[in-house]
Amino acid sequence: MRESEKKQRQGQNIISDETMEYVEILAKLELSSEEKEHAKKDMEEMLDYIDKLNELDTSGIEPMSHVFPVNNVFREDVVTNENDRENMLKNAPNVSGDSYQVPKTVG
Amino acid sequence: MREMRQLTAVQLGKKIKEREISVSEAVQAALLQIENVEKHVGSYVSIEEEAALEQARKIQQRIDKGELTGILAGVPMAVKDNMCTAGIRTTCSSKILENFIPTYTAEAVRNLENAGAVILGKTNMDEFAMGSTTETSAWGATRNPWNLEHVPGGSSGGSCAAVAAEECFYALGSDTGGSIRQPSAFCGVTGLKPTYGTVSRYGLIAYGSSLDQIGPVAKDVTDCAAILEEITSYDKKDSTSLKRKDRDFMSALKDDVKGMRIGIPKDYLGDGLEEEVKTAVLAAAKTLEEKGAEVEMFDLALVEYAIPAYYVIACAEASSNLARFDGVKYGYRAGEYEGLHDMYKKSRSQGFGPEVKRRIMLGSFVLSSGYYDAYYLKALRTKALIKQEFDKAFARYDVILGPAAPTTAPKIGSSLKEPLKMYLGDIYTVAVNLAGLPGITLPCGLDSKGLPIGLQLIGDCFQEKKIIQTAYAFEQTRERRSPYEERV
Repeated sequence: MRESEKKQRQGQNIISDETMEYVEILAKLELSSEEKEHAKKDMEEMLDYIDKLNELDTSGIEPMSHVFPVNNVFREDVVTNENDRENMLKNAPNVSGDSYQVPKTVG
Repeated sequence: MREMRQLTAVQLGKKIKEREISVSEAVQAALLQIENVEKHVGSYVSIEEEAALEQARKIQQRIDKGELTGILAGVPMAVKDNMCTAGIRTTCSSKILENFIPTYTAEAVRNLENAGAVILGKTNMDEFAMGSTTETSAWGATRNPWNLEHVPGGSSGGSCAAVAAEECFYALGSDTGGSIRQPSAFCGVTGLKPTYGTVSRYGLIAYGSSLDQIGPVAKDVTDCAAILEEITSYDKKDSTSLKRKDRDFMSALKDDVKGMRIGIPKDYLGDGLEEEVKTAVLAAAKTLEEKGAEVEMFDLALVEYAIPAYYVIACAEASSNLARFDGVKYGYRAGEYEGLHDMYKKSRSQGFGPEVKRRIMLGSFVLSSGYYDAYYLKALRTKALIKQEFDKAFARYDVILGPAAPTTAPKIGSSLKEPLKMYLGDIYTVAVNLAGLPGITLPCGLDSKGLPIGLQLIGDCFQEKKIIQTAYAFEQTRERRSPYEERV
């Protein structure tokens, strides 16, 4: 479905309701129907614009995520920070004793 | 008081050192100005009056004991609200972090604290640094001190407005696609975005991690160089942090551009550029040429592809970075929900503003299966090509010169209706972030509406000194201006 949508777009992207719902799931967002219409229009417009990149021949070009060679920085797994539980818990929306409180997650 | 307020950070630091001005007097002068103009300008999200006065006393003691001898010791400053400050509320101008009080301080801020900085408060910004006007802040727009009907630019609009309005002596901003350079241009101040990896991002609330960089916002080039010396550091806590040897940026403050090779991209002077901005920028180039620089026009290819590539990469990274805001350990949690996933969704949907949601959704889409190659990888390949173009340009030039933005500051309320149009305003700034380059913006004139025009100088990676030297030489040819007086 999304693949066929993609083929249609040559400057005119159409985002279906189905795609929109899928994006909401990925983004963990829940939009009102009005917001959804806005978001669709905005995304279609942006994608039409982004499609400009297709004018560029990038065959044989490696994707560049970092400008400089960046390597993983490894260290020994030792605790360096102090126990700051009290202050950290102060930021929590809900606590129970010494723990963060969340809705029941397992049945 | 006005006399003290108009001092640059380095000038004030010197007077503090020489006991002409006490740290408390400097803090009080800034606080008085905040009291007088803040209701009009709205630069700050939070003002730490008591803490600043207390800090002033402590810093003064350490200066008196000879423990603090740095050039910026005792100078009051402001921090953009996306940098964590232990014990000081840090909101990113978002409802989702309304009550967030960090337990640690961003490395760049800590470096300044170690140098004797006094933090006056946290400055307003576009929510999560997403925007070009500071209007997407959950706490309301900041206004441009030069004309309150206009925006200060963004996303570091609060920092730039605070410096222009003399509500602090300097500030820290962050720049992901122009967020230091564009508002600096709009507010008539000087802002520098360092080479990626120069300043630690530890404690900077991430937007587009591969593009984000913290930098100084100040009254002049000298201040920017001095602040950059303090905030440049290798930090194990940031895996992209670089070990830089040449940290003596102030050594580049030389009024000499003889033989400096300056290139002006023709594409930076094309459609959409306001005539008055173009005239002022070309006049600046002429001035540098008269001072001995070799100036010529050249073709910097691929300029038009920088914005689409930038928005794909920035939004993709944002969608991942902002996944941490889930209402569990900190931040906003919705009042009513049914189960864990509903809690996530409702908390995020109620906590984020429209522009942030727009970018998270676009980012989620371009990273999704079936679109990843076509959008995300395509953008990363484009980034590689853009980098190559800059490499070619810097084989011929020391500095690239152009405008910071196509226009001067737009009116409040005129930008957000058409997001794409607002994004297009980033045309001269985003490529610098994609290629990891340093860039500086400094004032080069006022338009007929009396709004500042910014000149942008771009250097090759690690060549901050060249842009600082060029900017400094240009700065010597004009008088510093303030929104509160014709001339300073």
